[in-house]
Amino acid sequence: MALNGNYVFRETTANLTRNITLTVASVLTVFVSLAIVGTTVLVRQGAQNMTRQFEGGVEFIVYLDPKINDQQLAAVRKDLGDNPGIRKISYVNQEETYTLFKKLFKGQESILRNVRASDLPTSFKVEPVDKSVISVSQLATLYRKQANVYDVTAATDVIREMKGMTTFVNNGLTLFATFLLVASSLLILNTIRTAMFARRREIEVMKLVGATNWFIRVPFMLEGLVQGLIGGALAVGFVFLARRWLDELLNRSDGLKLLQNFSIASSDVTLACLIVVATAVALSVISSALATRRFLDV
Amino acid sequence: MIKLENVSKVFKGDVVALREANCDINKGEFVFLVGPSGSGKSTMIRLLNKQDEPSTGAIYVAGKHIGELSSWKVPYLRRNIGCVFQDYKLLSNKTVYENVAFALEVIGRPRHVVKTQVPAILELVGLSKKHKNYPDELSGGEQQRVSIARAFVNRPLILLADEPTGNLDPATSVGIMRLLDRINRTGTTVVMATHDRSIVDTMRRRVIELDRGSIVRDQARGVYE
Ligand SMILES: Nc1ncnc2c1ncn2[C@@H]1O[C@H](COP(=O)(O)OP(=O)(O)OP(=O)(O)O)[C@@H](O)[C@H]1O
Ligand SMILES: [Mg+2]
Repeated sequence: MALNGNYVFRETTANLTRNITLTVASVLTVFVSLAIVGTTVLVRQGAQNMTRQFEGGVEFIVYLDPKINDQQLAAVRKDLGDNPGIRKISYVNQEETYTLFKKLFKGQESILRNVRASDLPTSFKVEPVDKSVISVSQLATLYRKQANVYDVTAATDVIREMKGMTTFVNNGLTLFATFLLVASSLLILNTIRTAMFARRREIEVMKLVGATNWFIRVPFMLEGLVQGLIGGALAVGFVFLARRWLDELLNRSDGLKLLQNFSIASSDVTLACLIVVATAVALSVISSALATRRFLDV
Repeated sequence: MIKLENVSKVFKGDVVALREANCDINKGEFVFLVGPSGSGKSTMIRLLNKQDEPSTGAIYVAGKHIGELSSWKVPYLRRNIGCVFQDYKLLSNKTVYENVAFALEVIGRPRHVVKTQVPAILELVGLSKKHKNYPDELSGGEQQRVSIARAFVNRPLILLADEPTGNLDPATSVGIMRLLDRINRTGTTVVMATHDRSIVDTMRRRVIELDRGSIVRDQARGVYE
């Protein structure tokens, strides 16, 4: 089938502008729902980044003073090692810390430029024998007071906080976003149906003179796709803004805070944008295919 | 060119619009379908270009059993069948030229073909001077000529006309019949449903008469009754 590009372009733009109110409604709904989807992905990734350090039984992390010398380091190591309440410790040196840091802040040049490897605290990841909340917080308090210890982060605080947040994100926002996605599909579907109804005389003539179903469908499907893509593009813009806001929201005063805090890497933003665009395309293609389906049976 | 074998069409509520119809129409023939209102003329025409399916029986167009045509091939069947209707079915937001060009554009004909064919066909139907007018600026006869131009611009093998003069006065109808006759003389098979006694009686072509869905008369060089 020879599809004349000029024809398709003319028909698609005519359809989009003829129905401007409905088009705007569906674009905005697509935008809002995908903005929520994108933000959900960001928050979820951030939460995952934050809890990633507490894997394999690690319950708290003892961050050491960046200016610590070798003897002081050995003393802390011996102290932790000799504690009968502690099963296992592992040292994270400056290099490893910096690698993790670079991974978390990949693409954020200003942060990467301002923080050098030597600014970052090295740490011990600690796996206690007793993993109950009381026991872990007692140990954390004990080591927080120790000489040459910069700070102690216990998995209990962080993870509990994160768990609550991710549950909210998972259940609340996802449910909300699903409803909105359904609404936007229906709006796109309705916009296309309306456009087709407005042009039923043309469509009737096209069928009579032997236009193929695809020839008739393509401009309408493109109309749906354009709506989805505009909504998706707006949502991608929103994802970048959301990242900025989340960054600003969190206090980033020093290297430790950067590591401890909820952080969103550039790869997470890319992931969020990819999901947004893929959803936009899938959503609009499926709705437009459904809307124009009746043309398959002549 | 067209062959009906025991074709019946039953609509819901047991309305038999066509009953065991058999006929054979050769290439280049001009056939009138006559009969009282509701006798099944339009139904038969709609079956020929697959706007509707027969309930039973087989229809052959240009040697093909159209009932067995897969749905993606139907548009290609229709490119060989021009259609003219009582109500013209012109697009009111397009000019005369655009209405005719539309039929070529939507079947993917290249622009240079459109640019040469459309003026030629408008010349044939005598509307070259009005190619920039919109349908509502034309008389009924002129609108019907535009619709004939649109049906014929792709040089179909068959032209189906369902009461093409139904809304026109006798003098204008004669003009339309001259045009259809001219098209028929180029070798195009024409099937025309009509109530117009004088047209049938003066043209003296093959007449197929329907009555309550049955073919009751099939006469070469026939008259209306
Ligand atoms: N889509 C349909 N659904 C149900 N019944 C239909 C349908 N189309 C036609 N019929 C019935 O089939 C019969 C034949 O109708 P048809 O339109 O073919 O008659 P006709 O000969 O063209 O009449 P006229 O001269 O008034 O145009 C009528 O009884 C009509 O009511
Ligand atoms: Mg009729």
